Amino acid sequence: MLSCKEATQLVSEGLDRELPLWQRLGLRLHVVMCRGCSRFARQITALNRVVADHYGDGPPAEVSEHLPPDTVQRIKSSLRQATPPADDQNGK
Amino acid sequence: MTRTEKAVSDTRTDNGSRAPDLHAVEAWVDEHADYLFRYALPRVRDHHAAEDVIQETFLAALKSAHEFRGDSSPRTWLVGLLRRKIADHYRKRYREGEGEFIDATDPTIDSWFNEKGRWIAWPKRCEMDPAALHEKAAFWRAFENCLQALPGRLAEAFTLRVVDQRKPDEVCKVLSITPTNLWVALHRARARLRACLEASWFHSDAVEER
Repeated sequence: MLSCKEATQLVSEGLDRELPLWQRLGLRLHVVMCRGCSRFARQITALNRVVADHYGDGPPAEVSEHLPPDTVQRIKSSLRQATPPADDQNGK
Repeated sequence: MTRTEKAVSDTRTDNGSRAPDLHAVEAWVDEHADYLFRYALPRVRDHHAAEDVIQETFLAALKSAHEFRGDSSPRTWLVGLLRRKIADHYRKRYREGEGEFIDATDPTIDSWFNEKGRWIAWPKRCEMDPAALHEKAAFWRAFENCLQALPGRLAEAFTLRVVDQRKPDEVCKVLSITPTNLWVALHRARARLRACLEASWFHSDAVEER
């Protein structure tokens, strides 16, 4: 019989990989009978989903940070520096 | 016009192969840099690191601009480059020995269970409805704080796996850890985040509203 400590580890692992059948069955049996682990399982599963949804398709809507203007300038000058002069392009 | 300015202007106008790329990428900086910055921030969790990966991304874009075919939008293409640079950022950090190792035990988590491995106190009841949470700024503030409070390695594993949605084998490679260590790190991260949210957010919001 799994302990709660072992069961919580398996609940989390089940979110990242397919558990072997015997572990899935043991886990299900434990969670059905254990209120603590069943709450734990529901909550970390929901957390996983809500975080994935929130950040999944690019930046969350409420994030409104801008790249500082001097950083934009730094990036542009690094691009210009990385562009070889015309002569190099034409094989000298 | 000084000689240097003349030279730069010649490069831009007379050179057929590179100058158009430079112009295109500079225009992408104006159009997409903020978006990429916001995309990168929760993934590298540091302003300076985010600025650095954005710069690396645009330099990579300049280098391979000729490969951009326009099958996808420039933004989608740039995000693809950015994701590679984010992975590089973590890889490099670990190579330089800044990453922490995963401890054999986690005393915080151990303290929640008795000697038989049973809960000393059950997790509190709280239904986390994904659709409702998405809109709640207070939840996301609490989440950010809880993520910030995690040991570095656990936060990195959680960020790459759950925030950034990378496959486990990719996260293992990026953080250079074994799958077994990844399962342990992710479990500890989720369990600690849950406990932290229970303390900082369950009461204030979810429970009172229900």
